[in-house]
Amino acid sequence: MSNSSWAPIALLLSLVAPCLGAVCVGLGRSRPGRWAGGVALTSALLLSLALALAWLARDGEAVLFGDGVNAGMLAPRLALRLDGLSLPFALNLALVAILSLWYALDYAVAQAQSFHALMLLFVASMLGALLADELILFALFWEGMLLTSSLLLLRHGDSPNAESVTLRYFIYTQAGSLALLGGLLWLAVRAESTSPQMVSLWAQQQGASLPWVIPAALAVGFLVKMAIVPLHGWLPDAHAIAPMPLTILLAAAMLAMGGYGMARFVFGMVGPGGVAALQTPLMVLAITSQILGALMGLASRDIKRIVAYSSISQMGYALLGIASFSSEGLSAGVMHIWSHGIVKSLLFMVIGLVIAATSRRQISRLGGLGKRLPRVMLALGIGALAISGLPPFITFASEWRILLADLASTHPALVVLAFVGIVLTSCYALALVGRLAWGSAPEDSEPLQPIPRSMALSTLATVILLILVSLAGYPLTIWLGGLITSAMGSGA
Amino acid sequence: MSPLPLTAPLIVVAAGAVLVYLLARLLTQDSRFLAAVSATILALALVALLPSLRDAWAGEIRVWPAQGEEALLIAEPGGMLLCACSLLLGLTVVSFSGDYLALDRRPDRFYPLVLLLQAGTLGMALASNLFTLYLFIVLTSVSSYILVAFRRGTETAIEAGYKYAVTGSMASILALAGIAYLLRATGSLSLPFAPRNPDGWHLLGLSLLCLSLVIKGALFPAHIWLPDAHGRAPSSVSALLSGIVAPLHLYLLLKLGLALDAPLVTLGWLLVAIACGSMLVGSLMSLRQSYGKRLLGYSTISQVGYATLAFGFGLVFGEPQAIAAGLVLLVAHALLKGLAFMSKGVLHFYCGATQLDDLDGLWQRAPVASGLFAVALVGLAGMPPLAGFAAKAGILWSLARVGHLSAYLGAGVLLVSSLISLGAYLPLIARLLRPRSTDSEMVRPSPWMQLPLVLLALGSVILGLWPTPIWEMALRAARFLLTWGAHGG
Repeated sequence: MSNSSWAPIALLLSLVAPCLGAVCVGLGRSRPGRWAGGVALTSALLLSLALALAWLARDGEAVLFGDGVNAGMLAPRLALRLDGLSLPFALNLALVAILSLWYALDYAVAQAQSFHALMLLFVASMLGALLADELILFALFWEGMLLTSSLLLLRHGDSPNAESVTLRYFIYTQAGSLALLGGLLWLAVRAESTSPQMVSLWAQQQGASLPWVIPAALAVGFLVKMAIVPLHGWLPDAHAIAPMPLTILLAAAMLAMGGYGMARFVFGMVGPGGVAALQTPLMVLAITSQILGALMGLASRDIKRIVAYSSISQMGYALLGIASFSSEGLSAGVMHIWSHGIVKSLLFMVIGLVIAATSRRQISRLGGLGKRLPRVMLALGIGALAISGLPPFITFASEWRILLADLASTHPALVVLAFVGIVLTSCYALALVGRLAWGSAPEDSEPLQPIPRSMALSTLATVILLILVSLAGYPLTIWLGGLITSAMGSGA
Repeated sequence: MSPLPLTAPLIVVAAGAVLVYLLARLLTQDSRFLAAVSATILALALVALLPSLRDAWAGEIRVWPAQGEEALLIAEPGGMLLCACSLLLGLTVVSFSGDYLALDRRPDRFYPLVLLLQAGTLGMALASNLFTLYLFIVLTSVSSYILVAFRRGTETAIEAGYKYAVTGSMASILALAGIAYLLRATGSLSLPFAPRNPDGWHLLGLSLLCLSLVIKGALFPAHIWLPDAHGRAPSSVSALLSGIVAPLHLYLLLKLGLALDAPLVTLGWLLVAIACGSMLVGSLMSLRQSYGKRLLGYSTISQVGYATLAFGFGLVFGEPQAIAAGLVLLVAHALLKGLAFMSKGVLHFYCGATQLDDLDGLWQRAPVASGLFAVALVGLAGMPPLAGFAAKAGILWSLARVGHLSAYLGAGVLLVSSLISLGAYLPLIARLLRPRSTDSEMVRPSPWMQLPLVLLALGSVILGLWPTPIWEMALRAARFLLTWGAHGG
């Protein structure tokens, strides 16, 4: 690492940009909501630019700001790190933030100023948790994520029982976070450092003699975030009541944070020796989520909930990849989270368009939209095919590689069940398209509302992005795989 | 230049009490003026405390009187930390009361009593002789009985004050009896001392003294008086009682246990058991409250329980980190509980909110006070970046260092209890943010009430993000206490 380069400064700026944006929005409370949206979108663009610059100007394998070597006391130290493992997640976050804030520009939300300020803070805390290179700092940002997203749900949740949904979300997540905090502190005390690198060195030396409770406690914290069955109870309601831009951030970016945690801390920091005992339970949970999420998607009657349940199922795939505890499986899992980010953004955006045009969410009261909203239905079809994991979409590449990695692991038999999940996914996804596009139109159809401009444009951009990414699937896979393998190989 | 004697802050505060009383009787009954005078007095006391604080930091422990065998006061780091904390909290309380006292009037009684209470807490933290300690305990108790019943127009306040006085007097008698037996067994009152021949009397005296402190510290199962007393007193008084007075008794329990050569392992396990009860009872009962300040009272029981847990494991395993973590928690709790009670007081004063139902939608009427109340609750729940997080993380950290199975179980109880209390605090924040249909006019609280609270909130953020200096001081205190008793023996 060299401190003379300006890459570290760019890294810090990427974190500062959304915070400054939030302050701007807060100061300009008297200005119109669209102004707040514009500031938010600009900050998200600046964030992405700073991240890209930091990565391009790096020398060596990672960009570092400050150092996380700790004096042993519990003061957080400002140490940031962008390496091959955090890059895909940061990229995903930046993309999703831009798309959702763009979408939010014309999305009707009450008190737009506080909404956009909180959205930016939420993005900042997710980015902070991704970049934190010190465990206490990580915990700070991790809890910041919970606080900001809860406030968003509480103040902007679109339901009379937003309060109880938020409480459930908060308590669920905080229970996981406390287990996580306990595990991290235990490791930090034993390793006498709060730097992930030092802890990792210590833990890998312990190998299998590390008590399995510790990685299990960490995993509980991250699996709640990923909404893996049976820790998924908070997700459907939270996603259903959130305003659509927030739903996109929750589903496409925040769930990914759980996957990041599993990859960085459970697999990466504790190491394969310490986590071996967890492999079977994790794989079983992953497949349960995959199948149960898809079944619940099939059973749901509310189009937003169907897509929300699909997140549970998709995170099951990602966990399946990570739980193979091989570097191929891990990179495939990360890859899947990454592609899920784009596909899930697209699906929620399209659902938002349908709701905006028809003001309805119940599937029984929708239908025959193929003729009335042809382009929206085309986008939905693309999203549905992509989430079903069909070629040529990028999700096919990641799912395929996950299955291959698991076939090579100790439980090849479980992979058979994963195929059941894949079939079920196609069922609910295609059933959704079929019902909306070609189902018989309800008798009480009303004239369609116009679709707001920024919502349509950002959806179009997401479709184009998905197609581009899918076309570049092979080189992307190789690039990401190489990044992750080298990051995991270098000790963290 | 001869440094200020250790008695200086005590004298300043006690003389200040008399001065304020005289000013009020002879000159003016203006609450703001008297608040300003009291604040100046407390600030002077803080300045007078600084040299001893600095020496304690540097590892030089002052005593008073400096010559001779029998020291009456000692400036050990832990006591100094709590003294400073008490004075700072006292400063915010008096400046808050300048306007808040319009609810209760009689400033000629209020400020002198608060200053006497401050003198009592300072003396308790400094005392190095059992009898001196007893006198200061009585001074603290008596002034707090009157302050609890200060809102004398309401029957509940009188009843709460009466209950508090009866429980407290019983505890004081137990303490006196304990001191008598200790004197019989050892022939000395000066701390620290080891018994000439540890016998049944020594143990009996010790148990009585500890029992008395358990009652006054509102530790499980002797906690029942606290929610009444702290729930009925004026908010500013509750802030002092919950923030510093009850926790100080817990600290004394630790200090005396070590100084009087108690069987540390037994005492430690007892504290652990008490702590588990306090944490669970405090957090579970706070789920069931409908009255705002009672809820905060139960939260004090669970918070003091966290510190007790750390102290208990620190004694059993001789682990200074655990004792230090408990001290840090007490400091964090003083800031946050003061903030919680006083911001609740602002909401009471301007919006008439006493029941939890009254909190609905106050965000729109008093955004700053509601925000501060929310910050206090979030901090008490142990969320970053507030002091509560640093303190709880510190306790977990030290329990992991202990590494014994029982410590892991204790950490488990702590985590469960914080989760339960989250279930009690969060609905309050949600209530504050509810949309309000009627009577949504903004109120403009006095800056004299809100500014000290903003400072408290800032302090708790700083302590949350940079706890290192407090940690260092607390570690020094723990190391000193662990070796103090050994020197005496």
